Amino acid sequence: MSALWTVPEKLIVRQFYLQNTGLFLVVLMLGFGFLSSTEHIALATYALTDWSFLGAYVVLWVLYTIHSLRFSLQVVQKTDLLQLFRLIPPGKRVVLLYFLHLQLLAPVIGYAGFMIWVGNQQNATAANTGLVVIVSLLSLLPLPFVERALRNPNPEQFSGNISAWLRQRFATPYGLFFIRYLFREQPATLLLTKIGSCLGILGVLALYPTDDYDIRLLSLGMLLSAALQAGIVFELYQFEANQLLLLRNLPVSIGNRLLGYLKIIALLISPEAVLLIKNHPADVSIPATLFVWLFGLGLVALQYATLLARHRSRDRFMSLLFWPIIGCFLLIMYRLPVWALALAGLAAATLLFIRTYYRSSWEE
Amino acid sequence: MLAVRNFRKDYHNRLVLAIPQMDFPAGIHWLKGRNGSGKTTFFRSVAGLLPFEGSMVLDGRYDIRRQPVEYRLRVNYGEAEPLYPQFLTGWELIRWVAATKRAPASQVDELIDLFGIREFIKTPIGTYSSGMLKKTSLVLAFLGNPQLILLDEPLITLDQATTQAVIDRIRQNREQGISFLLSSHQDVDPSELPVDSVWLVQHQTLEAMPQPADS
Repeated sequence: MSALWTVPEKLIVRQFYLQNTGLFLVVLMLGFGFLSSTEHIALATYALTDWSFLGAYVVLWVLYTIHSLRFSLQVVQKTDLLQLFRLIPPGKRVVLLYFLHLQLLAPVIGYAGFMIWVGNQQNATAANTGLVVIVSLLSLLPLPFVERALRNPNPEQFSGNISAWLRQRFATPYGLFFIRYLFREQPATLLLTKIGSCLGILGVLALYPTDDYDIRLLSLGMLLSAALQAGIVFELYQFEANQLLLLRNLPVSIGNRLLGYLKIIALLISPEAVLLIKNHPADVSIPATLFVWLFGLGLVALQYATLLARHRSRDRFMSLLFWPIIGCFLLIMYRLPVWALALAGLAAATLLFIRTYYRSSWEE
Repeated sequence: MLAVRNFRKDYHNRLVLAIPQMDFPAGIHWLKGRNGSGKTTFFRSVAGLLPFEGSMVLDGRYDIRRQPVEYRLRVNYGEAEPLYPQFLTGWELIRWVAATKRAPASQVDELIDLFGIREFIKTPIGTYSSGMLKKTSLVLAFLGNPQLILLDEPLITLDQATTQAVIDRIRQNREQGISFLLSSHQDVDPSELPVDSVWLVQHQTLEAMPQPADS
């Protein structure tokens, strides 16, 4: 059995978790950064007594299942090697496919298990039965789709008349290559990062008028927002190193290269700029608000330059962010003016970028 | 044409290639070596894609570090196994590279027709076969006004007509003063492609291979 298991497990399960590391990190930051374990227990307890609230959990789980199934179907249809699955007797094949896809659902099963544990303590038998049924159905859901995909390998791609029309008439400028990549390949990471980051900004803007706060609160919000972009920054680094290596052979000056990255980052965090400018507090001027945003821009650019200075895995890169964030937090709290923080961040990113760009390389 | 001094490239503290001194005169140079010997690493270093220790100077004037823009304007690279974003079209890539390499529009059109990619140029790269991808990478490698073109396995996956077109193009460009560093495991008829020198990448270094006429 292990001979039949190893290759599909590496191609489907490991690749799914590797390619969605950014998404999981954002979910962890949003789900376990903002909420404590007590709050998770409180939410689970409420969900077990309110079917509509439990329905919201189920919707999220279904969305996740669809996301993982979509990935699996793409791999199955495009990897000729996996066609060998059809040579396995049907009964054995179904068992293999079931357990492979069960691994993809591990986060759902884990959280549902936690809710069942809470339910047991609350004697919520009906809700627990519901949870078991729902998770069982979700675990069975991929089987007919994967079986169908195995019978229809390498389907003809049709991207639609509008896409074809656009491709004939327009060409994507370099500055939008990565943005298109994110929308196409990492939509969940992009969406969750932006939701988390924008909610953080909206949160500090809503908190501002409730007490005697000053611009430091906005700076702290921007610091949190910049930290949340780390997954996307790593995607940019990985995308250019793996799919756009020829960029380094192009005759572009280091200044223009830096400018190019600053434009990409500015575009990525433009929703935060719109929120800040549109909702800035009355006693914080627009130029001061812009400096808050530039502070965030500098921090994100600095993250990218740090990756150039020394290649790090995604996990290592994320874990290294902790102390710089604490440092920035202290600088803000010690009342360093935000314009100085913004300029210092941009200057540090520029220096590091110029110093390390041509010395950097992706290392497997 | 290309002067290499104290070149050294390591991966994870493991030496891949060390070339104390090497001068490539103008011409067509064929680099041979086993798989994994370091040919692609050398090509990528010369193209400016990989960092390395040492120096590389083109035509005695353009240092890869001191004149990074001028150097890259004159050195082009065609990868053995090109990998580009699947969602872009060949046209989007060519247009971008042509603009940065300052290639005239007439040259872009000529290369597109020469390598026969006009038919699929505006479809996403993800739909390309390996041959179509290779042809697109060859168009990119010939764009602009290079003095040195690095072609890593330029003939693999190509049909016979395109293989001939590539060989003819290299010969014509050579007559116009453009130099080439090639690597290929396929034999090429010397009457069709006159190679000026052959080099062997082995034992983590680069050595000139004696030609039959030399022995």
